[in-house]
Amino acid sequence: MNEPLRAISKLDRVIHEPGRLIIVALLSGVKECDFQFLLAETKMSKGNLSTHLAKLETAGYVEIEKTYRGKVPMTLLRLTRTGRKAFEEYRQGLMAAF
Amino acid sequence: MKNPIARYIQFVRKIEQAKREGRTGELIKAARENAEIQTITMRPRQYAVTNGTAEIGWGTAWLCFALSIYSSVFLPASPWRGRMGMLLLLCACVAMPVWMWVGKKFVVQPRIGYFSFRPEKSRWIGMIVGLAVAAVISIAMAHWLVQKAGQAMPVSAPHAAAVAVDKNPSRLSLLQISGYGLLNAILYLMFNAVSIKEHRWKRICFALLVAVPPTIGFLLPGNYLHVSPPVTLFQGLIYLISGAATLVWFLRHHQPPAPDAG
Repeated sequence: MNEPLRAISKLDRVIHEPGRLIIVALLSGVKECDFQFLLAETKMSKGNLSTHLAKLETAGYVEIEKTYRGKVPMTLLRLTRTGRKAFEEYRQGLMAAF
Repeated sequence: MKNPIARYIQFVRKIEQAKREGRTGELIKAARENAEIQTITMRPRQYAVTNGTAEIGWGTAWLCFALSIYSSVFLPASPWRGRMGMLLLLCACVAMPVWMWVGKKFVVQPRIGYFSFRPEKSRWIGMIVGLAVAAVISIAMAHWLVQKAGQAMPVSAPHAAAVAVDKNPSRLSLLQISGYGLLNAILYLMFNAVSIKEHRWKRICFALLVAVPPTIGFLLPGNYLHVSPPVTLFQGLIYLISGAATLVWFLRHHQPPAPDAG
């Protein structure tokens, strides 16, 4: 296997999916955000976004916290340290692949 | 690899290697993808300027600066004249952070959603260095302006603008006011780097910010001190109008979500 192909095969599959890539990219730019922010930015449906977030949470890349803002329920999301590292590695891997 | 210089060298080496192997197209594609990811990561930060409140804040600050100068000229002599000037200067200092806070709290978050940024050490270092540099330049400028004002007006005059001045604008004064206008116009471009593609009318504002200050400098007699208040007033008004129009556009195009969306 040549070097670019090996680099492609090393890309993180969890992040590589376009929907999740946008989510992780957005989360990497902030400390934390709520579900509504991701919904507005990604233009995904609620179900789709929840599924992607659940996968990212399972991988240990995203931390989900259910909280309240006043009396309004709010879902806070933040990238974990592992998630940030994985995203950085993904971006470096993307350049290494070509 | 966090060192940007080492990263750049690595990138250049990669380009060279790709050229040798005839793979420049693939490399450009990867670079574009990375740039797109970078754009997505920067989107939350762009909301600070795309809603128009930052421009309104800057415009308010500039207007307050100009009005503080005019207040010392046009208000009747009393202890309140000095206090009014100080109050306007204080308003100028707090206008930007207050409007940015208002924009985030009442314009962006109810419409786009809640988000907060990570504290960055490098940002604090930049701010401290920036403050130190600004303080040195301000002190030097104040020293220079006081000297200039002393030369331009008699001691009894309340302000430079109220003093009879030379009718012909000097070349140095024109150059200074043009540079001042150009700097503010560049700043306007920086404020609107993202939104100027969408709001084409902002190009007219940019052109006005470049063209009007030297015109005022040419039409009004006096040195830099006499010409800068009307120029500052004009710049403040342009920023304020541009910001207000941007805010109205933002409010129209970003409706608050349905209550059950959170």
